[in-house]
Amino acid sequence: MTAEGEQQPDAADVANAAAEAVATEGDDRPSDADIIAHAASIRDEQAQRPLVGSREPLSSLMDDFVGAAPALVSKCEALAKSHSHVRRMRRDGNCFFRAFLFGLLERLIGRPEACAAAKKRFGDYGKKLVEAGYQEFVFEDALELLQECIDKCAGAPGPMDESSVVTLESALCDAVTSNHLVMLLRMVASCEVSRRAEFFEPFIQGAHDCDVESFRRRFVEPMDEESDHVVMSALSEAVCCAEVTVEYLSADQAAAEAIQFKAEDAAQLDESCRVHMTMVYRPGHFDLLYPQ
Amino acid sequence: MSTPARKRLMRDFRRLQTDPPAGISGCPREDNILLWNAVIFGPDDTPWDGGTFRLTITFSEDYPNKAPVVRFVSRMFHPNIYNDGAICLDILQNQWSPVYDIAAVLTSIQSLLNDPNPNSPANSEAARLFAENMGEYVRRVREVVENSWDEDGGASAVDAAGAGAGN
Repeated sequence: MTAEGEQQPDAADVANAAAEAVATEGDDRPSDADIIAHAASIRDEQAQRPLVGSREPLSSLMDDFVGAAPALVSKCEALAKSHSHVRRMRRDGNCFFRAFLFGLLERLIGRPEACAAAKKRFGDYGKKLVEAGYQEFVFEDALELLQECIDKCAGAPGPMDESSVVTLESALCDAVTSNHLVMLLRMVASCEVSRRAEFFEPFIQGAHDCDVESFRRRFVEPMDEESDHVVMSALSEAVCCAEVTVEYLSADQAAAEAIQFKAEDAAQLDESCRVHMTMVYRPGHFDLLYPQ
Repeated sequence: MSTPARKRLMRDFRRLQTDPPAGISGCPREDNILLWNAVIFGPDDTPWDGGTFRLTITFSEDYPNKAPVVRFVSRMFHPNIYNDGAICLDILQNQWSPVYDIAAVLTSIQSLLNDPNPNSPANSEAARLFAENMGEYVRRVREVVENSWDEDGGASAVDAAGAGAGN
């Protein structure tokens, strides 16, 4: 830089400040740099937390909102009438998949019949993945791992057996195991989106402004990408035996709104093979909820 | 220890051996399956034709959930390849998906050679010449092609990778 150049930072600062002022005037959105820094600080903080937390009383969820979001506190109070506990997932972008995975396996504990059905369902889905063009070797290890997990659930002495839940917790807190299984569920969801491309396409175009193929490659298969309606609907459709109710805590609704994701074919399954789980969603994050 | 990453890499390797795509080869180093040597042949009928470019691929235990780090060891002259050999390619960064295998990665890099993306220049000189002076650009590419033949260890890496790919 020349001597003259030394003036430039000031000039640039002024320009930046002006640009920021314009940006702030137009809307209250933070700058890209602010967003990146904020995301990094959340990631660092989250990395300290377990991938799957232990069961906590629902009041701990309420504590998150006290002072910050009074509307959500009252919605939590309403939730507390029917739910007693919450299990937190790490906020790493995989929370929906991890909550689904844990919710499914936890509810399979001690239910050999449901385990056998789920195992078969995933085994069959492996064939669908191959038909859809996935190379077998990219998912077969993960599928085997999932089936082993299901076998362990089948061997438990009874539903929600406490020590089996603890074992499952520690299995899914192990990053290698946990992420490998999340990867598999992401492929399953992605494959289902492709199988029902015609149905999903308008939603994808509306929300993401891209075609089905790019949506799958950019938002469904890569780790740490957050899940939306399309993904949730595709995964419950694919897994079939799992029904997910999402309690949606939004700041602008009068009451918490429950949305159900249930496969069309689920009705054909015997109740003994079905799994019902509930998640709580507030913008950006899913956790598992436990009914009273 | 057989972790999911290592198991998957063995499968990637087997796939590469039984069904090797044209013009690429790769194999893990004997002492560490997370470190691979690879060779990409310049695509036929392009200025890159005849080049044998060596790369290293470094995997982590997060593979395939995280992309491997791929780097050219051979000196390159390309709009999307940095001077230190690092590659600017979407599928190796934010567009990575665990469904990609090593064959797909190497094939994508191979097609990047003759199909650069001028919008994300990693080598500004190469990007400029590509846009403004194709004759000079091609001359510089031919230079790295010729260089690729007599780099230290180049031939042995080709042999090792070639043997790995069952050629």
